[in-house]
Amino acid sequence: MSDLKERVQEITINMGPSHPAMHGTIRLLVTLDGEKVVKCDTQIGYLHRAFEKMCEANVWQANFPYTDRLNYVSPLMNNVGYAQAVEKLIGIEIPERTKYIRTLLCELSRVADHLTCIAAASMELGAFTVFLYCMEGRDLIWDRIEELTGARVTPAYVRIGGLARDLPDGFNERVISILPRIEKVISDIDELLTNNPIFIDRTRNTGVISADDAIELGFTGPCLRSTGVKHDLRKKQPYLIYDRFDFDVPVGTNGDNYDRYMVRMEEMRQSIRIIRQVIKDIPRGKINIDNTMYILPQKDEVYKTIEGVVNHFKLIMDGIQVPAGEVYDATEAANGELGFYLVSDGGGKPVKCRVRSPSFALMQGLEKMVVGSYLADIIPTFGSINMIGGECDR
Amino acid sequence: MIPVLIEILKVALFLAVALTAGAILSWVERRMSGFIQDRLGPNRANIVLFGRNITLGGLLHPVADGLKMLFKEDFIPEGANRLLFVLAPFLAMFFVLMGFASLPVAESINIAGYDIRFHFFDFNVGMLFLFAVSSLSIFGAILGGYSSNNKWALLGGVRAAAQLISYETVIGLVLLSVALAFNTLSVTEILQKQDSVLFGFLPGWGIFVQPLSFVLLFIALLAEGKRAPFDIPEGESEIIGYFVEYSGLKFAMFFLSEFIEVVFIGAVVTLLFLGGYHIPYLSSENYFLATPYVFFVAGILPLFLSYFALRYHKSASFFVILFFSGVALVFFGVVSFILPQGSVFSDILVRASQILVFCMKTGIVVFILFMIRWTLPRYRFDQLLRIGWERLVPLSILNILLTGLFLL
Repeated sequence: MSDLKERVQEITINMGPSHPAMHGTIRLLVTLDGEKVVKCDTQIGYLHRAFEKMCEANVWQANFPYTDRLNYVSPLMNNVGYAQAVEKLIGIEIPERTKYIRTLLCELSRVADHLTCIAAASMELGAFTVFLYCMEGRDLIWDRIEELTGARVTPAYVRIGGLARDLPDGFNERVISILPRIEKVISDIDELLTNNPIFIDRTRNTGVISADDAIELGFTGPCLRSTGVKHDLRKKQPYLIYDRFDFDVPVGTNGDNYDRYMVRMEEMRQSIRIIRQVIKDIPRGKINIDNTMYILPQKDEVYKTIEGVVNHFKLIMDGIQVPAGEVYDATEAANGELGFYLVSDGGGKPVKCRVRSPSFALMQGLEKMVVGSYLADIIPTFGSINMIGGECDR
Repeated sequence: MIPVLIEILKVALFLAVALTAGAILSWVERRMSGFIQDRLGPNRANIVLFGRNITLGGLLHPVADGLKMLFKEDFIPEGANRLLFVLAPFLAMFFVLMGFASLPVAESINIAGYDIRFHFFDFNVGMLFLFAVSSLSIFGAILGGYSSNNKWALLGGVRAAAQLISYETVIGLVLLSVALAFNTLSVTEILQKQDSVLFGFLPGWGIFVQPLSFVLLFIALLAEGKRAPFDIPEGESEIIGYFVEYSGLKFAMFFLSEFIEVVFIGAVVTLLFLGGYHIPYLSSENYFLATPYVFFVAGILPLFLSYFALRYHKSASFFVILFFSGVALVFFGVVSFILPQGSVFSDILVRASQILVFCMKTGIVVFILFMIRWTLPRYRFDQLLRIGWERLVPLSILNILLTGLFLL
């Protein structure tokens, strides 16, 4: 009898993969009691492309296009993360200008990523206008990235020991000129959402996670900071040149959707602050190291000298020779700690390339965040986690 | 015989206008949301006439949509309750259209001895009819969700039912206080009583007589009409909606009925609170004085839009339509200047201008509804119910008390 009662009360529904809010990349097996979530079984893997295995089949420097497809909203950050891990394994010190350019691109990507996250989350809450405003801001950034790298989503711009090409003339001025427009977009979103009672009702105290739980589950990035833990790799273990810049790490208090939104909003403003400082200080100089063991020789040399040809051939065919060993290096990507664990046997290909993706850890927490709340709360929670299929499933 | 013919003609005309209005509103909403969101909105659907692409500024999109839905597979899911599944979209459409029956659009007119009224039934309990119909209109959603044999649709239906129950209460209480304030249950009489001046400077409209009622009824009708931010039975990014299993023309009927319901909300608010066809400070006996100006004002808008159609959208066909409708309206205005008062034609023009005023007021309300839709996020199910029961119901009871005190 009690069994029958249970069966009548609870229904199990498939939320995704073909559900408007699930991005087509995830399936939640939700058990509902009325509209209350009793159980939420998160099933990932719909975008699994064997990234880690593919990396083992390629020479070190040929993996950049794959890293583009991890977090496809901010691909340059993945480029930087991977390059930095390989450089750490080899022991390369990259030129100053390259550090500045990488920082600039990381921060631009962070703004684009946060804008996309807020856009998607608010659209799923029914605020479609915010979505299109955000897209406008993101496109401003992507236009600049396209100008620099030739691609909007798959730039593959960073190289081990340097970059694919230098900044075009007037790039810095154009970046500075889009910043006020992005700030305008951010303040527009601010006006539409931050004090909107409906938005506050929908996001306050929904998808709550405590700081302890968040740390336990391996949360990083805005989701961890929203719980009040001031953990930002840019401050904790400064990489590139983040220790030279003046910026704040915003933290929340409740660890709910509203705090995650607020943390992202503030991070965008801080990123713009960093971008301004980077462009002010950016030095002239070369962008690549002077070691043709890692950097392709000049085209002129390749065409005219036998050494150049051989050098080029060996780098392309055998790959960069990375000394045997293993390394773990992490950067603060838009969603959190993006770590690469690389193992080399001294050859031209990685023996193992493991990605510690922020989304994967965040997805573990989804069930904890939504059980006991309403079905409709899954939407903002999932949106503010900003799960990116490519990164989570790899 | 002829009175019956007149009634049939009225019904046919009304259906044609209402259904077209629904389709055109879908275009208005799209273009307007495009305007709000810094984009153009749909403007590509076209037909080729004499070697030119005629787009009518996107007005062909509703036609294209209709054709598309007409040729889609009429799908009934396995395990669905076939009768209710087929019935639901018809009910949704039927009750929405029926709601218009008691709404007087203009004063009645006498042509060749036949009295022509601009509404279908002049109930002396028109308010009760409005109340009943506005509650029934949600049954399409409930039945559609219930009969689809789909859990998402079922959730949508359940949400619709809960929404209906909570907001019906509010609507009932608000209509009660409006009836108290105007001391009648007949919509026509309420309309006539709004043709007055309050405290010597305010038009005697419901919005000034019953300001709280206006706010409450507006919100409650938004919820009852499943409009944003109360569109939770659809909640397309959450539960996809009660019509998830519907395809083809059945879906089109849900879609269309929603837009017609927007007009219905606009019309009810206009009639009860914005004075219907009345113009402030002008009693209805002197209406003919204002007739030319009504036409002029109504003509300016299409003329104004036609300029933009030509300047920014480069749509010559759209320009022609807007321009000539504007010119026609201005022409009627000039004609009504010339015609003597009391002739049949001038009477017709007066009624036409009343309809225009009514449509303009309704249009403004509809415009506000669209603006709300494209600005606000969606409420959550339980928050919607809480607003209904904890805020709106107490407020509407308070409203009745205040009205009673005021009347005493």
